[in-house]
Amino acid sequence: MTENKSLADGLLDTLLPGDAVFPSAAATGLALRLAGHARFGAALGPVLGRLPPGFRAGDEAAVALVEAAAPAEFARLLTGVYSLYYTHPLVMAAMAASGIAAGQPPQPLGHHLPPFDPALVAIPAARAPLWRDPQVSP
Amino acid sequence: MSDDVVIVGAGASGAAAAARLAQAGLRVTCIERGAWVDYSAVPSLGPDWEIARQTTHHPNPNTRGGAADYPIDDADAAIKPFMYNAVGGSTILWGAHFPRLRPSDFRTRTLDGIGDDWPISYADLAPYYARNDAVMGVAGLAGDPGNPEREARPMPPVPPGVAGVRMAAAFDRLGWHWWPADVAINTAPYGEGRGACNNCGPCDLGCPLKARSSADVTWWPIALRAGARLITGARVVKVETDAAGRASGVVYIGADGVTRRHRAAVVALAANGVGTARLLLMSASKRFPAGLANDSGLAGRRLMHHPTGLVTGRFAQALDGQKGPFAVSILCQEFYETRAAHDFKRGYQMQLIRSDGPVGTACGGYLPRLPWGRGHHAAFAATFGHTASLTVTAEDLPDPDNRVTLSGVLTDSDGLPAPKLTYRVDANARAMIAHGIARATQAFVAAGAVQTVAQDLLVHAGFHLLGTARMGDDPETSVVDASGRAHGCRNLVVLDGSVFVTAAAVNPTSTIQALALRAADHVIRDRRDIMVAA
Repeated sequence: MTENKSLADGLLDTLLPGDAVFPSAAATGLALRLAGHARFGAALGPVLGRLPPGFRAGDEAAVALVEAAAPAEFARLLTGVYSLYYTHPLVMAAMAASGIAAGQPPQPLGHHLPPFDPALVAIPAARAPLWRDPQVSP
Repeated sequence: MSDDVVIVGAGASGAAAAARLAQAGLRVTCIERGAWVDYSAVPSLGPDWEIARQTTHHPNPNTRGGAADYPIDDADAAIKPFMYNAVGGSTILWGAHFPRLRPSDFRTRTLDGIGDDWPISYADLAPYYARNDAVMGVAGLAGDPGNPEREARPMPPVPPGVAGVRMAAAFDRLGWHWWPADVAINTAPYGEGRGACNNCGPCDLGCPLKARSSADVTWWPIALRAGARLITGARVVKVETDAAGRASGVVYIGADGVTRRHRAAVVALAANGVGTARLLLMSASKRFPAGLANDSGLAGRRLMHHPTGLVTGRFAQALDGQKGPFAVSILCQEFYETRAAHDFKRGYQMQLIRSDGPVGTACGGYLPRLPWGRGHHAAFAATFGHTASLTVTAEDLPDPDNRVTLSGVLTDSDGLPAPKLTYRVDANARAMIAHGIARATQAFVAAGAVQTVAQDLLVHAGFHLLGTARMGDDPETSVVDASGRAHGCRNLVVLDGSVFVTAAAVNPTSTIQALALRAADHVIRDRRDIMVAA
């Protein structure tokens, strides 16, 4: 498990490395979450099995070859990776801290938006009717 | 004692009709295979809300596979079905876009030489639109030159957001029509126990504020107070008829697994354009060997959707597109009516929709999936909340070979045949979408988008299920009459979008409910005739 986890961390950190704002995938514990997930868990093993011996985190060329060899399988993994990454509290907090997103579920707080300004419709409101009246149309 | 009316399906049309009929003093029972939504547990309250869109709240019942779902054989359907079974029906997952049909939509044969004319007009439905608007609650703005005059909207339009303002300005520069959409979303508290929208975004997961209208929080409280009964978790498997060919009631399997018979003087079907057609076909008998009320051979035929293309514009400026009701803000009907210069007949609507959430942005949908690797975070920052999309919602012409039948290979959990959808998009719609994609792209460029991406047909866009029990005056060429009463079975009424003659190019729910209210009024008016009709 340790070896597999290390390999999984390496793969996931290649897919989603960290940067100044966002944690790396491994830093969110993604490997364990993914492996144990009812919906996404089955996608990890097949892709891990295609990695070359001695694979190291950051080797994008090697991962690109795996993607090219099994695109549907890889796509299933990536859906799981993105889904679990962007719903992790650390990532949501990072988005909030950088002002990218609220970092909260949509409810109960919602968002503020300026209300509709009726002045916006000045131009379209001045147009003649655009709809056809079957009573008068030829 | 049997009821006056039994209704199959507690969605948009079933709810409205149940309320109207019960208010008139009729004994009404509605049977619904789904359950009430628990608004304390909707996915938008938790961090996994976007995963719910892939699973429990996926629009396609085949993907969702929930307890209330039945499988649909859609292998031969170019557009996959979108429906939800619950008290409230598909209004539980909808975006609440609430336009009306235009007068020309009812006269396509007379005006444009294609499709068929409806046996009713916009004027016949106008009072029912207004009545339904008052209950559902509509945010919008009167004065739209693209549509006949209507009453002042009860509430002001939803906030357009940065994208709405930019696109409105672009439409103005292009000289094209646009208007804030009529939407069934509260922009102020309205209705019983219903708050105002807080712009959270994912209306499609259910609204815990009850701000996004749905039939369970609007018509159903009225119906229940008026004495209507609602049986949930129950699957209607057959409409029975007597020796004279009159509907006598329905057979259903209850939540306890027991099969029961529910008798009524009138049977009303409100199970949507797929479910109603399926039930008609499953209710074949000696009198109706091809399916109940199917002497014309048209039950299940003329299935119509709204073939939809999509153009997404990405902007350098943050649009905060993840804020606001996801599917609605402004619309453009510049190309709605037939024009001689076009290489297609009829027209389309462009509907502006907002951005996706973080998971949706990364996984792709409006735009392709974001790249993995070192470039991912920069791509995410440049995309999330930076997009808006225009649908190209095309009018679907009726084609008898687009149809609902009973599957020969797929069955539901009761061993009954699943509905099979056979559906292709015709050349007229494809030409329309191509034109619309070019115009939508033009609009995004005019608005300053730095990237545009087009999709020429959204596969998971079968949200509108229409036409499979079309109305008409001639029993040879229609299933129901102008009141929704089946020609061959005069105490059988169809309430849902199955009765549409043509599809128009707008979201149909407002019209479906107006038709259901009108059908209910006619049942009340003609009750002496209907309840003894042979």
